Amino acid sequence: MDYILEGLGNALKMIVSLDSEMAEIVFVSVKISTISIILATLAGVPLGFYVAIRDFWGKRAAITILNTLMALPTVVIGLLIYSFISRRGPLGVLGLLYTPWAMIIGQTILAFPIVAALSLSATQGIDKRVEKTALTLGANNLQTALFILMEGKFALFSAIIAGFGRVFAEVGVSMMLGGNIRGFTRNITTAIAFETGKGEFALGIALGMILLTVAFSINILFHYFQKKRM
Amino acid sequence: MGISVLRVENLIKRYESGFALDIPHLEFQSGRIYGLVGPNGAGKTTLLNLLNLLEEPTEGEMFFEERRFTDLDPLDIRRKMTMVMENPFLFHTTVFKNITAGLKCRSVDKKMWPAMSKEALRTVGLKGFENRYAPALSRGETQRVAIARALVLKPEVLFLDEPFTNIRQRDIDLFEKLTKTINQEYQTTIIFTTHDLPQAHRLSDEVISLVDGRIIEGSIENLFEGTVEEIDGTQSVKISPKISVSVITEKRGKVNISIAPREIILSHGAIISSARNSFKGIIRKIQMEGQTVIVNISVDEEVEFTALITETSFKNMGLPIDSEIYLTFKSTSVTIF
Repeated sequence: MDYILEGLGNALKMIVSLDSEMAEIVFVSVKISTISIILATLAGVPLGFYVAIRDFWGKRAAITILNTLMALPTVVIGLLIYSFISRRGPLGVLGLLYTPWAMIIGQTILAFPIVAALSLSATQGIDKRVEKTALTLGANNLQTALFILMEGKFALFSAIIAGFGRVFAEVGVSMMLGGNIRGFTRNITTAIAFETGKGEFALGIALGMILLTVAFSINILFHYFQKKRM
Repeated sequence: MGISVLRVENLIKRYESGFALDIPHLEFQSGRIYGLVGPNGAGKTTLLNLLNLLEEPTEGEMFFEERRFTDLDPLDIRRKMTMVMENPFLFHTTVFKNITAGLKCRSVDKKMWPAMSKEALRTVGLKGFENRYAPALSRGETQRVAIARALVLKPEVLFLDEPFTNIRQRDIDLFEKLTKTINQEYQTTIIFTTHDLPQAHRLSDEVISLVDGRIIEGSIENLFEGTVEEIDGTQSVKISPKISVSVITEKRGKVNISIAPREIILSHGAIISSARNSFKGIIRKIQMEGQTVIVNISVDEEVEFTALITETSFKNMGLPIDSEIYLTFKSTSVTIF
């Protein structure tokens, strides 16, 4: 029990003193997850929006696939990307394995179906009169789309935040594709796993506390936007 | 007589449900007010949607100022018209941003927005509402903001889809005045839909009746559906299990019939006359409309007729609600379509 309390005490000290190693790890996490969620948003929001407002052959199948992909295990994504970017893989020559870009690719693929599926449901939840109102006001297609997006902005923010929460807390993709290289690809989750394995609880607990704080903040934001959506 | 602003020729819109709007010819002159009346599902909103390019016709041609819609940029035509929906949607933002939404689409100089918005809000009686949060407004205010949002665009044609439903009587009077004001001040052609025939007559230069997707010449009040029957060489249309209306027609099978309210004679007792339709009913509603009185009579609790009599006749006869009354009309007064 003592070692837990001692770890907790040291963790608090590290947080208060903004320990450089801890800060570096948090920075890697924030950087990679932010880039990943931006890429997933750029692809996922338009896709979800398009699937929601247009009727096309196979729409139901597309929605089912997107919903299923939301539950994609991180290790499966890790395995898939690994097979492509490992030295023997078709993209091996790019030398992406164990780089932040490999983690970004993996996390983008992880967040993309979440952002797309939640954007789809967010768009479907927008009042059907928005499109007609925009058209009667003389909006062109792009302006109409922007009117719809503006009306659904809070639900769309929720979708993006949900995706960010997922990638920020994942460990499978980061470990398999990033390799947990100190100062380069070591992020919060891989560092916690690594430090725990070493028996170094202080840094692990400090990072765990930061992770929980971020997760808590994300949840608060998520619920804030969900309420705003009502 | 104004110039033709909108014209449709052989316009057909078919739906999978089987409903079809079928209008061989219809023309709207600029600067006039048109009332489209008809029961639910008659095709009024469909016609507005087609004219406003919100739906595409299955067949037929439409013309804007005598130029084919197909020869013009759809966005250009749509920007010369606008529509206020039955249940208008206001964006989740301020009244000002709602009113200027259409100006933004047209890239109108931002410096002009406040003055234009102020003017439109003044016209609809909502001066100083610019910074209010639109979704928090009352139903009547929402309707007025929607009209201001349309008005600020100075459209050549303004479509109002059931603008007077679900609002208080006090607001209805206000909207009727507003409709006239918009037409006179802005020279806007106004095409509105309504269920209320007296209101349509009150407000419009021309009333267009739509039933089952078709324009009809007869009255749309006292409108019934039934089957033509022939007994002893005389035709009648059975409009309910107990009530048949004598008619003169060559048609067979299912038909629609209508009887103009002013063709119905009211009396305290049965009258002997050449008219072949006479029913006993109970007065259910009385409504004063200027010099005339609209009387609603229920027959056998199955069918309700509307009769129109003069204020003098009404006063002389003394017609309290729930009293018995006889209504009589000729077979030749029945329009069949």
